[in-house]
Amino acid sequence: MFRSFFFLLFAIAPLFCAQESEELLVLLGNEKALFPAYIEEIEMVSSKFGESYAKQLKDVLKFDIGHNGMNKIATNQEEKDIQAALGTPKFNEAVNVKALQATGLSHLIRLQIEGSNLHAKIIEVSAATSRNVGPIECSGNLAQDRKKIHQLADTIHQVLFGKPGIASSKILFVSKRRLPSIRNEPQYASEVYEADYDGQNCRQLTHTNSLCATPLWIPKRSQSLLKTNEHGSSKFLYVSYELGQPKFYTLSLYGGSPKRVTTMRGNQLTPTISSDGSQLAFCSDITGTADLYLVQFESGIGAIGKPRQIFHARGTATGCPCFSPDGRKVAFVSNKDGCPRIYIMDIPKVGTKSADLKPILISKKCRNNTSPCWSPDGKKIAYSARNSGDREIWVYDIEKESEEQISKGEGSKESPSWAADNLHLVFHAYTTSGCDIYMINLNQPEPTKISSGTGDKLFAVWEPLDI
Amino acid sequence: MKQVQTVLLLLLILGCAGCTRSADDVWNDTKTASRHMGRGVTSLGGKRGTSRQVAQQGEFEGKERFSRKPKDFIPLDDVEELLIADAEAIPAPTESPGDEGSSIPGIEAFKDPALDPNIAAIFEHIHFPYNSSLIKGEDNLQVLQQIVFYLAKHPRMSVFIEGHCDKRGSAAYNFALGANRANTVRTALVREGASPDRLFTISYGKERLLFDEEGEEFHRLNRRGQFKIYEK
Repeated sequence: MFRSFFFLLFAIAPLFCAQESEELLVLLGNEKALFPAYIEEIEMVSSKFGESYAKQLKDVLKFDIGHNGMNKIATNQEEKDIQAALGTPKFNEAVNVKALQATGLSHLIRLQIEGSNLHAKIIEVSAATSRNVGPIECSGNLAQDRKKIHQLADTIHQVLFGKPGIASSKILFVSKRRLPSIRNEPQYASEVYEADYDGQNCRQLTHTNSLCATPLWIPKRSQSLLKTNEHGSSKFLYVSYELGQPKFYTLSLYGGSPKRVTTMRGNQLTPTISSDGSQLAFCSDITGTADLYLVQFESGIGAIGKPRQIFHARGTATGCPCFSPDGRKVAFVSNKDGCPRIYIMDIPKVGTKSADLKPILISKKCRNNTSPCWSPDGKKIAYSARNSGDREIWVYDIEKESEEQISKGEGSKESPSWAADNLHLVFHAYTTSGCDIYMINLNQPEPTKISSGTGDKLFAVWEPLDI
Repeated sequence: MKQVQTVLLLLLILGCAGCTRSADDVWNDTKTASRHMGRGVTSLGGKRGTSRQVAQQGEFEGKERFSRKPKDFIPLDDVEELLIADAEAIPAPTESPGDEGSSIPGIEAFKDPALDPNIAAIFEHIHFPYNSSLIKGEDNLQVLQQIVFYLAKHPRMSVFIEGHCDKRGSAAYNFALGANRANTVRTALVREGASPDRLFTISYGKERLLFDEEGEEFHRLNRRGQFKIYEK
């Protein structure tokens, strides 16, 4: 009898196994060929600026072009070959295209400052075409001129690739500093900041003297109903611990008083706003467990009506919702099946039972998945996942139903946020030197650190296109 | 007899072969099974929360609290019923500290009991397992009991229960986990007899680590429920 039992066990065991146990071997598929670009030294003609200022401007443009997701800046060795092919560069002189083509260069950018005007010439080497851009008038104030250089970089991107660049966009993030300990217990305070996409021109937006978390841009479409606003208002939403329990507030980028979004009881956490600005989803523990809620939203008013529960799973931690671009679905994280994983779900109608909710699991390769962020084109969901060791940024392709790790390098990476071009992501990463904000794009897996200064920098979010 | 065994064996194999599933099916079954692991024979009784035997009178408190429709949110259609059946769910207090019209002030008015040598030993930290909001261990239960005992003697005292996480989970997810930890402590205190309207939760996630160092003991100490108190 026992023999038969064991025979039976061995006979049926393979039928219970998955088709194959897929070993998780991470191969980054995003190390793609980029177009080599070279930016010449700025030629100065009767310029009122010094050489060092010109170099600073060139460095800003070099960063922008080198991080646009399509170009790579020529290496030192390539530079030597290109310089040899160019001879002594002159802005208005013709280029020896054949010699340049032999170096493998794709794009040459020539710059000239005449007086205070910066002229740019874009040469597409393979097509042997050139186009002038500008001039832009520089002020000599680097903070102001950086913005103009970013605009120039975006114009160059549009000319070369037919799509708008992201160099003029901004990010919001939280900077957390450690205060003196009280009775050996560390104290912390954090505030919301705004910065250019490269981390420069940083400025503090909130002054709460408490903890702030997870800021969000409020899409411009939600602000169009405002009757008056002297600045044409760009607003953001953030979580503040001023009262103790975390609550949502909105504030203009140009100051003013914070405005509470909803009077709902309990903790309100990890908010997200739909791309048309009409819906706010968030996590709350009002029923005694961390569930998801949704409420109609308008920037000038805040929450409209009562928030309604859209997901409940008893005793589980559910949070980090994010909307699909059409606002009909949410992606979120829940540990309802054990460890935290990413699910997507249609937003349920009023009157739906929790038993009828059918969230679809999308993150199957790693055990520890959090912070989903839906790309503006709706085709991808980025999230943070840990396989072994550090957390990395992964992307789920909705059409292919496949997951791919896109980041590498030092640090545990969290809270990805897409740029409007569906190519770039910003996130924070914990390393041995603290927590900082990094930028990556799908074509360049090596993250670039963009934050600086003391304190941890967290929860970076990229400005949407229509702000 | 042997022939019968052989026939039964073949039938079983055929039956199982008929149930051959895709990797996705196996995965879905596996993840669902994880909910029942560690629950032993109780998992055979169906999903908890939909129906279960009430052990004591106090567990009916949930029903009383949910018998009124909540004023500030709309639950999913069956969540009220589920929460009534679920003695472990204690909804948020009727007041929100620091809000306009609330009789309870904001966090600024609350003090850290650790700073008062007379009560520091009462309001000790509650510690949690990794990625869990379960309260385990005699030490934790003893702390909960002494807090309930103290609150019974101080009926005008309100408590903020802070839920904290260690640094390994992601910051955003830890907000939800911290909320559940704070609520588990609150529920345990209420079940021991404390008034739910005096107990407020805060989730700090991993934003207020006690220790920034790596190491299991540091992680354990960071995964905590912590208290702040206010007495009118």
